[in-house]
Amino acid sequence: MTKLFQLVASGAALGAVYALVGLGFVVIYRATGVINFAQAGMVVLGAFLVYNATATWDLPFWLAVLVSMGIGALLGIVLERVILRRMIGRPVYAVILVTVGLLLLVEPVVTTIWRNPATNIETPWGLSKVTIGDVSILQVDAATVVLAALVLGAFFAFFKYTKFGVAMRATAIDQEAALAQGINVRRIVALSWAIAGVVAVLAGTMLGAGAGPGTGLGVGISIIALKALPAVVLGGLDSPLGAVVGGLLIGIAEVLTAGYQSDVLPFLPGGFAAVMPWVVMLVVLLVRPYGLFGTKEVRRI
Amino acid sequence: MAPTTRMLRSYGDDLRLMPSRSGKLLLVVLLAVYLLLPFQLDDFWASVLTLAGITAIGALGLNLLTGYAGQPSLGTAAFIGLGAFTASYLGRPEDFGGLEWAFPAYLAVAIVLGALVGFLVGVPALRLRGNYLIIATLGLVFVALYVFKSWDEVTGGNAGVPMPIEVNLFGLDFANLELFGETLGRNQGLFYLVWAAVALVALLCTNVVRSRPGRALQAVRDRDVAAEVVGVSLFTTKVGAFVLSSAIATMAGVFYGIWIQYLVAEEASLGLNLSIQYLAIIIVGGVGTTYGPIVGAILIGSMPALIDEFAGNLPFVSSSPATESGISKPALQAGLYAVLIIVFLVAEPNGLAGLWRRVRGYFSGWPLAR
Amino acid sequence: MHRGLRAVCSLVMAAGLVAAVAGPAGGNVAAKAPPDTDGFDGKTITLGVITPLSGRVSLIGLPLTAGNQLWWDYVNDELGGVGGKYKVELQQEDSQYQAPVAIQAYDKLKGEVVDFQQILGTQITKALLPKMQVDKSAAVPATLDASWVKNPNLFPLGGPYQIEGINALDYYVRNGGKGKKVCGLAQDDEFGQAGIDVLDYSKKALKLKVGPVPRFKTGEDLTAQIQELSDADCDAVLLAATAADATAILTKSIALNFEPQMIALAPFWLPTFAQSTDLQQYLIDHVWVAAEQAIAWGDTSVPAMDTFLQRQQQFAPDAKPDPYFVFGYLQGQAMYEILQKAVKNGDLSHEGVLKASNQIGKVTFDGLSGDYKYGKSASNRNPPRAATVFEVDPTQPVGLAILETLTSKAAKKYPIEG
Repeated sequence: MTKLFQLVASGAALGAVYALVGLGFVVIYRATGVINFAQAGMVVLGAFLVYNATATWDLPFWLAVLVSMGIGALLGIVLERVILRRMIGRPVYAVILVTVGLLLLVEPVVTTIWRNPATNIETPWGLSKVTIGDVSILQVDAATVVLAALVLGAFFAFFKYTKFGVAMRATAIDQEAALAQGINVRRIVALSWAIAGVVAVLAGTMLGAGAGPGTGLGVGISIIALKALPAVVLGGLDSPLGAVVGGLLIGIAEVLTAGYQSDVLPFLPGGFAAVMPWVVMLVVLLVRPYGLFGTKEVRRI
Repeated sequence: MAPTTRMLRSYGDDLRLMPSRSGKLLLVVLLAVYLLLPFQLDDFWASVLTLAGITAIGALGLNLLTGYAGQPSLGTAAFIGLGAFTASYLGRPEDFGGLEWAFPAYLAVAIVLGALVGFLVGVPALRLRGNYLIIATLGLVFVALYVFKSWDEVTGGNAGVPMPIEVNLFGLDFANLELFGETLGRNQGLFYLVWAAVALVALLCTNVVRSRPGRALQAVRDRDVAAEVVGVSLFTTKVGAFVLSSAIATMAGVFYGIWIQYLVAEEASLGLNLSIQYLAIIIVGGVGTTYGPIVGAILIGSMPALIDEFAGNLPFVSSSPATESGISKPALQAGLYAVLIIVFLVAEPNGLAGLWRRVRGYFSGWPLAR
Repeated sequence: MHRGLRAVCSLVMAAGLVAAVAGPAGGNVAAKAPPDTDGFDGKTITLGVITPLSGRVSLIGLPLTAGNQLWWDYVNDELGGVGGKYKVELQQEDSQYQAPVAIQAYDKLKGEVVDFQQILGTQITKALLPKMQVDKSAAVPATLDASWVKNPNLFPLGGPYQIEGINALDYYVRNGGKGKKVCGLAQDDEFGQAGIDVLDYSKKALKLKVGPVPRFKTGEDLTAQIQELSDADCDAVLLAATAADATAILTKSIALNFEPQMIALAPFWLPTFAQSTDLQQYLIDHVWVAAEQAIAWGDTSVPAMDTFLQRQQQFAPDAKPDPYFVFGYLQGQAMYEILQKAVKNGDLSHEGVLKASNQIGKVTFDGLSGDYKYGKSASNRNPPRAATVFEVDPTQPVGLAILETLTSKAAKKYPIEG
């Protein structure tokens, strides 16, 4: 029984990471209909920004994160303004490929600027644990779960109660109609990218501190970030709640599969747990493409 | 004096492949280059250009699917792997656990297999469009990698497998070619085979495009519901596009296996990056033309080699990789590749082909500007 | 080996050693100048290096190459080159740790180099071997697989991973591990297989109680595997994993309260790990690293280390302490021995170098690494059977302090296929 609880707890920690990354995907998809592959790159960059702020500029952790969040927001706005805005009206695969190009740019940039990074970002939690009975997870993992819930709550409040939030919802439903209502769609889109940048920094910080798979600081973070895609598809590409629920579900399922595969599915070759999220994604796409909480797409002919 | 512009007097004229004088001249030049180049190339450039040809084949297939039919796909890598491992299992020497079939045999099997898998992918893909199709094909790549990694007998699992060594067609072993008394290296010999295949596939694609199925493809791309109303069967067209492009990509995979001589199933060689490369090639080359993907493949294929040769002269690039300052050559390669993709996508949506059209248009209208 | 030939070899080796250690104008005068051939133009010898200079494995490829360069800078500067006459240049190509890129690099270099100073990567080496067999070229491999030992196209040095592991387990048994349960964590590839080989052999040879050995793919989430080991109450775990997954393994073990004696094969370790404030304590308390026989960086009581450090100060003063840097230097030394012989034979062609490699007898590194018996043909080779077990010590240059260097009976008897 302990094994089950432990695996679920560790799975939730992994899932919280997917959730945080996924929220970044969702925010941009909602506003623009674009799946922003560069989000994975922004997560890496976010991690290194916080690392830089704590290690090189010697800022206290919380200040470092705040400053990096600002830089992340700025980066998001700049990317949108300079590159993505010029891709309006282009076929969807072209837009996605531009975001992929940005993702590809991140690794050479990061490895050139930071040549010998440490293994982890230094955080107040370090690698200390939280233990309940026989189950333990790292404090950073617990913090990630809390953070994901907080961000989700913040999104919820933002979308429901603030002017900008309502405007974003309107833009997501129909850009033209929103424009007709006097909403400055350009500013909304820029705001979405800024928010995505901020969320990326948060996700990168936790990953760089050792949450989730525990690989810590490194360009490998982008690969982990890409695995959030199945989570957001499961949850619904335009639903923040979906990103969190999807993330948790995928994370827990992944770790449970790894733990029990040899007992339950012995006929499957080893390593199925790593590919399982993608299989789930394919099934969701075929059966219910808009996911658990996404909005069903209605096509005007 | 012969007309310098294409004057169409009949439907037949419109269909002619090489309508103009300059077109025929170009053909002759290309043929000469094809025949003579391998003798001039050193092993390295022969290898680069042969790989470029292999990539061009795959790109032509993807161009049909994405450029003409409008079905964006990031799944090419899966089919390349399929072709390569089929070639390996069926064609490699018995000492290495293969069946030692002849080249035409395993090529045929691979193509049929590719078409079959393409069908199996294409049918469910009917339900998906745009964004969803792209990530679905992305998922396909990961699933394919899992299958490849697990199927030890065929793919060698994590250790990998060697590939067929000899490539015999019409009695010639292209991996060990002897022409005019000179023995050509492996890559030089393969150059002939691969680029002949490129020509064939290009011909096939051009014919598809300028005939009825091609128009159906484009109709589906532009307005699929309207196309169905007009009588274009969405099923046949979309699935057909998948089948054809998958078969072509698998064929490219067979050549890739032969070229690389040893293959391990892993993300680095058969994963997302490979699929991205193909998509980038058709976009940079120019979607919707036949020569675009070929030019794109040559450009992107030679880029790492060119950077290697010439980048050392730039002041901020460090030739020795262990220095603390400046950009390393590999980082420059990766960075330039990404920047190239972004710049082309943003600035020149029609790729090199579009650029060429603009240049040609400018000159043909000269001195009347614009 | 023939008595007379052995004497000649020893004489040549002694002369070579004296030249190498004593200093200027060393090396034998060639019987006649070797004819020009691939990579040799009568003045300079060019050697190829195919290694990851970018990407995550460049953390190994870069110091290795720097070590290669240090050796040849020394030889070129103080000895005048191979045979006292021919300077050596390294042509480096970035393999990005990918077989196709490496194959292209090989094709590019093969006509321009005498042979290869360094090729890194088990898969890459396997991919290149068929071509090298055809071209009769050879390389010093930078990975320590037992299958390289008897391959005529490879000039290996350093004890294979299997020897490292067996010796380390022997040390463990003699230091509190008797009767305890030993498990493993193995990467899902050839390298991980080496770890499994160690455990299979040691079960009988060291009478070990062996528990589960879960496998993992690099980059995977490791919760389930660590959980499995923890549930099985393993007292010790043999780690056949590389530095790429090291952080994840350590972090997960800490998270799940799993604190066995970790015995890691050499590729696990990077000096930066010892500097991580989060991981340090766990590393010091629970992790040993098993490597091939080595001397601590900076231990000037060993003359060979002292000499090495002097040369490092002179030619590569900015180099950071790194075990791969030393290994690269030793790779250079091994190649030097073979090239000296080839120059003496007057033949630097591919076949000539292969022949020379069967004539050098034993390659000795004065303790910086184990002596490697080369024998009169590749199938006669015998790698060093010693290994060094380290514990983690952040005050040491590479973060490791020697516990013991040993040659266990079990390691001596381990059968190497050929």
